[in-house]
Amino acid sequence: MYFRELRHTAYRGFSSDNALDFSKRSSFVREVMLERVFPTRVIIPLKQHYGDPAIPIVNVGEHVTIGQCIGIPEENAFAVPVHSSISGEVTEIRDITLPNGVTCKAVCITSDRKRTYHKSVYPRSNIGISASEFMGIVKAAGIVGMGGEGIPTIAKINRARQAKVREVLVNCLQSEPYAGSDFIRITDSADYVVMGAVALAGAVGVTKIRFLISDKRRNEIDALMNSMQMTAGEYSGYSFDFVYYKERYPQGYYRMIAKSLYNMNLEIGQSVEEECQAVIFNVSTVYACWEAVADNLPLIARIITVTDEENKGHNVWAPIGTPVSELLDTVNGISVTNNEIIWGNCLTGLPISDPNNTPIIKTTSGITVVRKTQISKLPCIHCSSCYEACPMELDPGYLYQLLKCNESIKAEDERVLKCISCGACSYVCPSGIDLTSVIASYASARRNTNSYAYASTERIDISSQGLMDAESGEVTEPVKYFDGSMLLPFEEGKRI
Amino acid sequence: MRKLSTAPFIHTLRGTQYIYMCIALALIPPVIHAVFFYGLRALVLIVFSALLSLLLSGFVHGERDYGSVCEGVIFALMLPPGTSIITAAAGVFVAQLLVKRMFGGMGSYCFSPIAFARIFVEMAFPYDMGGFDSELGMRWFELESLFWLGGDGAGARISDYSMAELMAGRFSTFIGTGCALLIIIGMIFLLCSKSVGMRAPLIFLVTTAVAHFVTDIDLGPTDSLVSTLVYMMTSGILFVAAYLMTDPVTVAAYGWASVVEGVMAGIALPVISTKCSPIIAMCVTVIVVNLFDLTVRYFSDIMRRCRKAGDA
Repeated sequence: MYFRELRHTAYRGFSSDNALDFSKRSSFVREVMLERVFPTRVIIPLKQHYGDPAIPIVNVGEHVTIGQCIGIPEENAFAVPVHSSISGEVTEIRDITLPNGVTCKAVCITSDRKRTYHKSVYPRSNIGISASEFMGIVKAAGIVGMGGEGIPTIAKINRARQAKVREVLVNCLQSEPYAGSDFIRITDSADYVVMGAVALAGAVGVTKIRFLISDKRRNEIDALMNSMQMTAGEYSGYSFDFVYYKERYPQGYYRMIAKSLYNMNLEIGQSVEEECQAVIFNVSTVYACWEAVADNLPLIARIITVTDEENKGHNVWAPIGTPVSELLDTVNGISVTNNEIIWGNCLTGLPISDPNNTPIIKTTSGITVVRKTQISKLPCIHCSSCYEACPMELDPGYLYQLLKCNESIKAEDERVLKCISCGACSYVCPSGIDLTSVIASYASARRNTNSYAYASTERIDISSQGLMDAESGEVTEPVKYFDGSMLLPFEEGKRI
Repeated sequence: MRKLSTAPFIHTLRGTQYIYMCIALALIPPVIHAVFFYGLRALVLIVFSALLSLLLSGFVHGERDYGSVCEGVIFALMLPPGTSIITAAAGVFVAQLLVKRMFGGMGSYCFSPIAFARIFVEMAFPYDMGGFDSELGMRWFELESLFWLGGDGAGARISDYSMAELMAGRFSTFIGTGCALLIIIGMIFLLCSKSVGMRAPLIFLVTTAVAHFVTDIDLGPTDSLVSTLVYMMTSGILFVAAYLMTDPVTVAAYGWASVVEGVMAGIALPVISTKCSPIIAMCVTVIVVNLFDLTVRYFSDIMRRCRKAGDA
């Protein structure tokens, strides 16, 4: 037996039958297809993560190559490096405001159409590296949580080590309508996902890995199982485990996972690592970690679902910084006239007005085009649909009325700050009341996360600079001891 | 405070109009029965009530409230076939202007306007509400006699009919409450469409049936069962459960409150029935449940605060 345990656990999910299962509507399910996008230019923001921005280390007119470091963290800053995703010439370094409100510098690069990789990027001949080396690679590769929150992965690893977690959870629970980037990542590169999970487990210092996945995703489950069987011989000390969930939105949110797996109701300020002794990594992040190890490639590209409501759309592999307009050009027949372009997915995304100058970043999992429709707003009929749909068991209708009447203290008594901005209440409201924008805006503002709309910043304290230290703590659980010379992970770059 | 987002950018297809459309579709079987059994006169009464409700709600609220069309139809279906248009108009006025407007407005009224209006017309126009005149002269273009054998049922008692005839609604009753079969079809449609909460009405029906069975148990189990079935089919309770107890504004659709309200209605109905006529008893029961729903919401707020204080 290559792996210690492969257990099918019972279905888990919301207790409410009214929770949202978008897979039931065939129009929300996109054909899995992967194309590569080679943009003519990229706009790479130097702050694509939760924390501080990097500072540019390239000049206008300079020629850069794929994987070359173009931005490094300032000293003692909670930041990760940024790398060029195409080869070409730096044409401009300017300020940019992203749809999520982040304002930072961005490096604009025009492609030379050569796709030249930096000299540091090549397949690593020996992937047997120690945990501390792995952490150094993850930090230097600029890997951040790709599920949407954008927390630097190195910070998560360190926090998990401090909390002495017992298991690693790989989050494969992507459940928003149209979204499919994580699933194609699994089917396309299941071996990298499995090996990345092992590497992360080794770095965190645990041997137990659990994949959280919807029971409807049979192809992805089969792909992961095959990869485990093929690769597990090299990692016989680790145990793999599947946890099957009902297809529900937003089941992949960390609080929902904590509740379903550990029966823990996480309050504001509590983290999965400390309360549940587990750490959650998004499946795309896990892949990126192993890509950094195996191919010595920093995080320069990701899979994005590009779609509209007319059943046109697919998944594309796109370099970070690709303008949205160039992504939309890859989908035949997609029209932006009289439509709204969403940076992200249609339940949690943000509208954009200038697709030519809005890039995708490390946390963007989708670009969605929806019809501009005026929802007729009627008075609340007290149907309780919003209450039933709310994954945090809030009463959105009541909270909405309190906030409209400026009764913010009462609203906080009713736990308004626990709102996770999932949009479920507004989605189900038959009267078309815009509950989410009122409640989520208040909750987010009170949590002081204006700069990052959907981040639950209470999970990571950015003043804890030690979390960004790749060498912090004593490494006790190696992935596999390295017996040869160590390749330098990436070019560190020079400060200008 | 910066408005972060206008998300979500998609909405459920089950909007308010969908809910009312489903209710309207679920009302088609009783309407067909009404026209089939009571002729064009019933159709005129139904259409008149629906249009007047829509007109009044538009006049009062300044916008079209398609829910009021359903209310107009439901109200008309609860009237005797011989009801005059003036009586129907009075009921619609009371429902739309007095109950809906004065007690909360659209989406926030505290008790069922239909139940209140039905009680009002019963008390204000007792003669008009008094009988089930089924003389042929009163039935304009009635179709029922083309298909059924035997008499028109005038003056017949419930015990004179077979179970099949009762199920088909071929007995003197209100315009749309007679045919249990078609009402059940409407209920099944509502249940499948998931447009309204059906927990409270179903529990109401079960509780009522059990209460009736237990009350008549001294007749013997078989007779008690038959008596219960006849009661459930002929009293109009199916209609009340399907169309009055499913109003999301006044009856809890989900949670333990819907269970409590369903049980409470089932227990209250036999008690109230001893004091007044069956239709009034059912309407009063609905209003009692509506008021209880208000109380439940108030106490659930208090309980939530207590729980919060306990957690703290």
